Formats: sequence, structure tokens, C-alpha cells
Amino acid sequence: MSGNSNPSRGGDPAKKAGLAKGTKSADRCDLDFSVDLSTVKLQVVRNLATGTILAVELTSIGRLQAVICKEPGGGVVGTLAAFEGLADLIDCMHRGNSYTATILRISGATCTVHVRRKAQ
Amino acid sequence: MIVVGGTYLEVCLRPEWRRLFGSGLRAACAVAELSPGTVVHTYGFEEWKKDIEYSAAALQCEAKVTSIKDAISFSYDHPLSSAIQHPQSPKQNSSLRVSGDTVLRFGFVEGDAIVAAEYAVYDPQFCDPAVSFRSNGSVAKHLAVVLSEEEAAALGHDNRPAIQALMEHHGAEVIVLKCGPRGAIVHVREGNTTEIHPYWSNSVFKIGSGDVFSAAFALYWGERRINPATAADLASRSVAQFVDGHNLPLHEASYDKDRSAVMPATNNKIYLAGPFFDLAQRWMIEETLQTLKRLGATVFSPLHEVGTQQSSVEIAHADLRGLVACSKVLALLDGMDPGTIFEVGYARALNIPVVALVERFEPEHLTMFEGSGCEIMHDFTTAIYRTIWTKGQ
Repeated sequence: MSGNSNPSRGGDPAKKAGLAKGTKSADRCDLDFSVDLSTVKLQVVRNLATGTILAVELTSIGRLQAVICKEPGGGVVGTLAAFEGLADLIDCMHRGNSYTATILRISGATCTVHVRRKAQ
Repeated sequence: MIVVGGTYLEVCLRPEWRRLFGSGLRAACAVAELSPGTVVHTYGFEEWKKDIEYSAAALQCEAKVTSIKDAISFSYDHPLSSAIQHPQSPKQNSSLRVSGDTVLRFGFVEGDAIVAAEYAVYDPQFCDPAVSFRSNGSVAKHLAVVLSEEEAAALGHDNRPAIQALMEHHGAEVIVLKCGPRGAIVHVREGNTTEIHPYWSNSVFKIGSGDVFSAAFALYWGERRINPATAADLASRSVAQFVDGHNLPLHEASYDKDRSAVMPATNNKIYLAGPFFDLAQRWMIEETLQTLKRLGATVFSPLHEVGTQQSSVEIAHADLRGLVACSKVLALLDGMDPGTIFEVGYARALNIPVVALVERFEPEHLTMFEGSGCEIMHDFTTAIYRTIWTKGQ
């Protein structure tokens, strides 16, 4: 059997693990998930290629924080937002965990990245 | 702008999608850059409250979340399929109350919103459009009601008496009917009816496009006080920006003057080419046929028009007679069925445009298709829209 499980059938989709709800229960900050970036900067992403490793950083927006992804030259490529577990990711970053986002696919304005924790 | 609408988990099989958006959060994120200070008032599952607040901040708006016990989700097989709501009957929560100069109100499955606004745009979504905007105590000096494709179809796109009655019922001065790939129709009280073209985009991600239309219309009509027809045209251009990869936040649609309108097709009969030799293939043919028909296309499906119970000669001749009478071919190429490939070649030899849907492929297999001018699409929704649409000048 290959491919991904069907998320829309067989019960409540919300009960399946969310994107950034760590699958390794012993360490909730050992996150490993793929997601499309939000607020993609087209002028930056068009110069990048699949496999590029982006830095995952926190930035302050008012009283809250957002997670941005930067290319090696320091340009912001986009943000990680609008998924279950975003608050956990931010909390884990506050606790000293660092993450990278590797570009899996670029198609027009869509930039899919694989987020995982850096080795300690 | 003030937005009041739901934040839900959205799940889609193809393309894979598992995100927290819903009408309210998406609409606020859509206009956040063009309307600084945008706030969305929403219900949100208690475990998602912080996720929603952080997400709104990342997309340059603010979310005021009322926690609820239900984790409400909408699941799709693909973006043109019907959504499955879970739970089917969520607990009803106390109404949200919002007021502001310009308010965009969406219908909820888990509650209601009482609005006081100078300009209000009401998109009933899941709620019965026959229930007046004002019936829960909402007030607006100027009101526009934006109806979904399904609601618009039920009402009748050009049924002026019914639309006039709906306008009176809501106390609205504008009714906008969203018509999917055919754009929108704007009805103004004691005024003209204006058809709004859809605009071309390289890809089509359909989930949430109606939310974005309503958001952009609220921005241009409600906040900027642009006339309804122009505001709807700008909203349609905004949708074209959005669907090309769920591209948010929106930028000024007026800068998109070079974007081509999609023209109404004439004699747009579609030949549906694809294999139907096992359950998966048969399901795909049926799903594609029903989707095309639901979007208003006329389709020649060899399986349905000719069948499989005749001789090879009779089947081939009948299929090809059907093909030459069509203006475009949608070819389901996965599996590289010889019959489908033959039909594509036959069509191209006759200069009939071909849109080919290919989800699994080896690049070298596409040489002749690309080289003979087929449009190769890797996504079902985009392939359907490209089949229906004709690019204008």
C-alpha cells in the first residue's frame, strides 16, 4: 500500500493528527510536516528551486508572533500559517527548538515546504 | 473592514489540503493588506483558538475568537466536489454582535451574527437566503446580498421578479449572483443588471473562491464606495488572483488591467475522452461528466452516448462522429489508454483544442501531446475550467 491515508472519510477529520501535531508523542516539539507557505513573495520564490533549505524564524506582529521562512540570502519567502498546531510550533520555538523548511515544490504562487526540527 | 464568519478545518484529497480557513478567516486575510486594521470575529474550536489568532496575525489581520466545543470541518474529494460537513449538526452558540462602517457577514453553521453597519455585505453561505438579513436584528443603511452558485441557480439567474422580491425581502439595494466559471451577475435596485466576466488564471484552486469574491466586493463596494458593477468586476479579478495557488492577501485588482476576461463560449460541446475499463476509471468518467454538466457544459461522453455493446467498427465510427461535432476535448490521460490517445491525435489533426488531465506521468510520454498543442493540466479543477473557459483578448 502506498500513498496517503484518506483524510475525508471514516470519521471526524479533526480527530486525525493535525499538520503540526507531532507524530512522535514522546517529544511534542519533534515536528515533521509539509504545508504550503502563506503570503508567498513571488519575486523571491521565483528565484528559488526545489530542495532549497529555508530558515524558520519568529517575527513579532503586534502582541502576537508569526513564523516566517527566509531563503539563504535573507529574503522572506512566506509565512507558516492557517493550520492546526501553529501555536504549538511557536511555543516550541520559544522553548529553544529550531526548524528548517525544505522546498518540496514550487508551482506558480504555491510553494510547498517540509518543516522539521534541526538536530539539537 | 469588519468580517464576521466561520473558521473551519478544510480537508481535500486532491490536491492535498488540510488548513484552517473557512469563510471568515479567509475573507479577512484576503483584504487585510488593502484594508489595514481588518478584524475577523469568528467562532473557533477551543483547541484552534491560538492557531487562528496567530494565523490571522501572520496574514496581517486580527482574529477575535469565541471558543466553541465543536471542531467543525468541511471535507472535499476535490475542490469541485460537494463538501461533507462534520459534525452535521453542530451545537448552536450565542450570536456574535459586531458593528462598523463596513461589515462583511457570512452565514454560520454554528451560530449567527447580528450586525450594525453603514455598508453591509451579506453572504448567507449555508443559511437559507430566504431568511432576511434583518430578521435577527441586523441593520445596515446600505446592504448588498451575495448569493452562491447553488442559491443563484435555484433562484434563476435572470429571474428578475424573484430577484426583485429577494431584494425587497432583505431590504437590499444590490443582489450579486455568483455563477462559478461563468462569473457573476449584479442586480441593482431599480437599476441595470450587469454580467461580470470571470478572469483567466493559470491554475484554479476553487475552495474559498466565493469567500474571496465576497471579501473583495465588500472592500470595493462597501469600503471604497465604488459602484456595484465595477466593484463586482474588481472582485472577479481578485478571485483570479486568489485561485492561482490560494494566493493571499489580495493586491489591488485595478492593477490587473492586463488580465484576460474569460469569454462566453459558443457551440462549446465537450468530448470527454478517457478509459472506462475498471471501477476507478469509470468513477472518474462519471465524476468528470457530472462536474462538467453541473457547470453548464454540454458533453459528448462516448461511454454514455455510444456505449460498449456494438462492434468495433460501429463504436469507432460513432465515437469519431461525436468527436468531430465537438469544439473541445477533455482527455483523461492517466494510464495512457490507447483509445484515448487515438482520440487526442484525431482531434489535434482536425485542429480541435485538447485539454489533457495528467496526474501521473513520465515527462517523455508527453512529448507528442505538448508538441501538438494540447494543454497539459495536472489538476482536475484546473483541467475542468480550462475545458469550459475560452480566453478573451
